Amino acid sequence: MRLHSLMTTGLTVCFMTANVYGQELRPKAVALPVVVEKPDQPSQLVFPDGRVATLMMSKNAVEMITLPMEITENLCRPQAQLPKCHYEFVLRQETANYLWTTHSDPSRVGKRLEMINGSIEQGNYKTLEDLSLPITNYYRPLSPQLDLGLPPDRIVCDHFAWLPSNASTGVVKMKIWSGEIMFSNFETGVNENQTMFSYSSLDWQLGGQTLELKKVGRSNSAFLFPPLLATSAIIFEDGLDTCQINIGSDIAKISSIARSQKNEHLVLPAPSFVRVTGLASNLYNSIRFFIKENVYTPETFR
Amino acid sequence: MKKNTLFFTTVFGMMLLLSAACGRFGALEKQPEKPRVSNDSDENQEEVLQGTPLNEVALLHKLSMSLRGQAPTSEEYKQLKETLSKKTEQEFFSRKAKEYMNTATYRERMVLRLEELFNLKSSSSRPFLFPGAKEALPFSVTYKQFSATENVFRDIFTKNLSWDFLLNGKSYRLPVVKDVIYELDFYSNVLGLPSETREFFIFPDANDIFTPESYKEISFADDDPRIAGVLTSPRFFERYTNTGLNKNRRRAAAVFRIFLCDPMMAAIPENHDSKSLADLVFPEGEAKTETEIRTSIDSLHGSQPDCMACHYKLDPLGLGFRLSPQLLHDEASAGSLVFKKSNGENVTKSGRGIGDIAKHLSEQPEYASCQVEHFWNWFIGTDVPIGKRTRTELVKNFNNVGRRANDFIAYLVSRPEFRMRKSNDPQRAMVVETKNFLKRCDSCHDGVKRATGGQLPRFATWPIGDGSAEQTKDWLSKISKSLDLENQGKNRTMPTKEGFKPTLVELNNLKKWIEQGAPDERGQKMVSP
Repeated sequence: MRLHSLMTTGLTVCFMTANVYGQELRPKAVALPVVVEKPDQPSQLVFPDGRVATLMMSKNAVEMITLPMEITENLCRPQAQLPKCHYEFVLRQETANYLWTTHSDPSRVGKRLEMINGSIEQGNYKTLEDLSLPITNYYRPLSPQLDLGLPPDRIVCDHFAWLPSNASTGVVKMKIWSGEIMFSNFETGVNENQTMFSYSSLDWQLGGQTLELKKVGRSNSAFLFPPLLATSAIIFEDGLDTCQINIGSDIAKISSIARSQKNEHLVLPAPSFVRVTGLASNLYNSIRFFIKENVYTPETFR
Repeated sequence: MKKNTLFFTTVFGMMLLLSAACGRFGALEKQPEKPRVSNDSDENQEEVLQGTPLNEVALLHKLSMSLRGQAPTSEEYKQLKETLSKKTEQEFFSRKAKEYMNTATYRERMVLRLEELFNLKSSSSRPFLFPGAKEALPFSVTYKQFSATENVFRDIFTKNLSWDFLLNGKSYRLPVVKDVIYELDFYSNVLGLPSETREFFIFPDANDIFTPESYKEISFADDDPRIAGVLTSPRFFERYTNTGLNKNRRRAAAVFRIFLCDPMMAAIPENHDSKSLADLVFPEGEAKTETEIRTSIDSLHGSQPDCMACHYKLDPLGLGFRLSPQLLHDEASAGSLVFKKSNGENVTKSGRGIGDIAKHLSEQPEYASCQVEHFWNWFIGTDVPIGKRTRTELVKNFNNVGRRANDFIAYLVSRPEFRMRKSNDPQRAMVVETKNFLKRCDSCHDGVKRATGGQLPRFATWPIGDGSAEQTKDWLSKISKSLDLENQGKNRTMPTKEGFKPTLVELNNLKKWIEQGAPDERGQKMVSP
């Protein structure tokens, strides 16, 4: 919340500076477009003149990414030999944006929404920045019913003697898995390593040399990646008790893979778990600013 | 009209103060006798009030300033004069204290004091106090002033709640702006809100002025073990962040500091005082990997038996936060309150979650003793020591008023100590500084066994050791050598490099104090100089 709050504030201010200050603000009350996000329906931008833009998404192939996974501290089985492990993470890197689905000009239907760039008199428009959507198994808590079309993530190790003693039953339960990043403390302003996102109630099936992800109960962030940052901590269920194992990894390689995905052809209505209002993105920031009173005119979007 | 009133108030107030200072205020001319309390102090000696007592005018001024941060009005001074002629001043001051405690300025001053106690960041403009602030400085108004954490503080004074609400409160008020409930995310798991309905990135629009239209009240069962007042509020979590390595010890240390007055000068410092170790573990401008940090900390801990003086307490309490590294978890996490009383007795109280632990904490006599000390420091002053009997009286009254904050403050400002003028005696300031310095030593040494057997004495409890002049002298000599006071600490062995770093001023102050025979607050020397 904090990281994105700062990022978004900064982005919004920059955006205002670049695009708005040159314009005359219009002190008139007009009906405004609204973002409509109904259950089981894609996000829509509904305009007072009847135009509708719908959030559409690309459809790309599933990628499997192997991430390092090193146990740095084991308080569950302190005496256990350190294993050699890696994490197999599956990802579909998608793109989303608003396309016109209802428009008075039929040639605009199916095209990306465009927004005024500079003054209205100049008549220059630009498309909104695409929303980058890495779909992972960690989306599951947001839309438990939806088939993401992804095989399960896996933890592969040369042995599993490092797991809590009750793991032999086959189902391994993580109470919480939290990832840390270096970030400024919101109260003190001092940079420090701190937990920034976490998932709870993760179930894994133990079989052979793998743990297979069966369930992600709750998501406590919108990052929606496995929390394999440089440092993360897992609290395992251990009988009636809990115990902690700390993990070292490097998730940085995901971003380079995500960037390599190029298919931006928007062919599917975005699933209902993609809510632009709940994500800090340039897409929503742009819309949000321009659908305000004294800023919006029917010519703002085309 | 307003300007005239302000001018008159200011001038009249100044005249009254000046008159009071010169002793020329008619009925107020007679100075009250200096109160003396024949109580036993820590050292079983007579407690004597320090300084000179204020007359009624100055007392009214102090009462008004202490409680609401502004001077009395001219009308109030007039009322006082009339009251004095009727000899009903006690009732007058009692009424005024209650009146002042009904103001927004009082409430917000107390909120600020609590922010400071919890080491939270204060906002420069406070629309609760100055409604115009948000219009004048929209970008400096932050959600913090409207946060659930501050609302817990605020409610204590607005509703005259028990001070224990800080630990045992089970309800929160969350700000609502444009139909969005801020901070709901933090409580979403304990409220059982489904993930798909959650809004992760709720933040004030940079172009909007953040002003809550209303507050959403959420509450939990009285025995909910997951909830513990301020300890389970967003700003406490943001201030005392957690990592896998830290294991909630930072939060536990804050609990011990705030609620048991245990300064917790940890080997792994949370605050900025223990700079040497911080530099060692987290060198300025140098990035370190988790493994490197772990290696350095492990080696430091491995060589520092003193670390266990803190860890035996921090680790069990930290477990109470275990499942909630970032947001509150839907399940409670069992943990314990473990500490050693000053008489050496061990306290171990287990709980199903942080809510139970907090309740155990609020039931400890050490908690009550610590909390009255906070009030004492705010209204009487950190430079005025609390004697043993006074402390007992304070705790008794704290409990008698149901620990309700306003009622206890009303009692405190009616005590003779509140009426005393602050001492400007540099000698006394030196003694107070010395005691505070030695308390920091105690925070690490307390409970640590000596290699030769037995435990170290408490250096801030005077006389040091068994009370004999010989032993006190012996300990003063050891302190002097350990800190290398002769050479301004150049070759000191204490505090260790992992502990806090004393300043030159502190070392010189301590040296001077020992050279003067280690006088206490009353000037009584422990040893011959």
